[in-house]
Amino acid sequence: MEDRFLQQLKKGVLEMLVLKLICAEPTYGYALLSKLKKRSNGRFALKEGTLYPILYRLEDEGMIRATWSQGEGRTAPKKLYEATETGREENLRRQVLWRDFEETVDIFLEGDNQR
Amino acid sequence: MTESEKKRKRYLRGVRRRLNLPKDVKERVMSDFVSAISARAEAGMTDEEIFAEYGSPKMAAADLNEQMKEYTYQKSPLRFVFLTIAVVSGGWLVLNKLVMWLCGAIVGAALYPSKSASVGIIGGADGPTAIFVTAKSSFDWDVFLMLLLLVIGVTGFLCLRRCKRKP
Repeated sequence: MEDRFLQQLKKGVLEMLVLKLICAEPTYGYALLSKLKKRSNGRFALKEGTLYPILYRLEDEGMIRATWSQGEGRTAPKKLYEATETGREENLRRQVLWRDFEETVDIFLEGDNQR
Repeated sequence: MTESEKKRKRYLRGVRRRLNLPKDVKERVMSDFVSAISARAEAGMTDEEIFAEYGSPKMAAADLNEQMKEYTYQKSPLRFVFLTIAVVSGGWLVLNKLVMWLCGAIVGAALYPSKSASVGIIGGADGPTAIFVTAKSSFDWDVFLMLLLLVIGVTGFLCLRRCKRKP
């Protein structure tokens, strides 16, 4: 069972990271899972069912949209997620918020370490 | 349709049937799930490897239901109110009407073994009394009310077993 604190931390940042990845380039759900796992060295090894609510929230809020990409040849069409203009603006805003938040937490932690 | 496509379709049907999600969410999840399976196949995985990763349709659906708990249907405790209404009205119908009818039928058959039309005739078949005795309202309002309550109770109970969660 994963550490509860770590779970809470992940919950807080996952949406931001998923939005960032989609803003970087349009991507499929399966590819998102692979990218998250690879770039986090396995720290963000999500199951599909964990990713879907994040995608649906972003989609319902107008930050991403889903389209079907027609596969080449006999390959089946796949659901592709791409960022909207609103999503790109929100992505930048969240990254600024995160830096600010990170700095504030670091100040707290440094203060404790100096005692 | 190829054998692989048939296998996939059967698998997906099994997963869809077991998802405890509202219709619109279920459609979204299934579209993503189908896409994920196609992507895995394109990445070189065989159907057997893909199905082994997800598990049986029952396991795959259980996994999705667990991870998407915030979307799954919940059972409202109010359903027990409707169950009580259904049980009470159903019980009344059984005890008051069915049992009484059975007792009446048994007693009537024992006392008047010939046709039951003769039971209603008191004071002569050709007199106005006979009409008075045999004329009776054929509509049981109490039965109708209890049947209505039974239907409401059963319907309410079944509907309240699948309520959408509040966001």
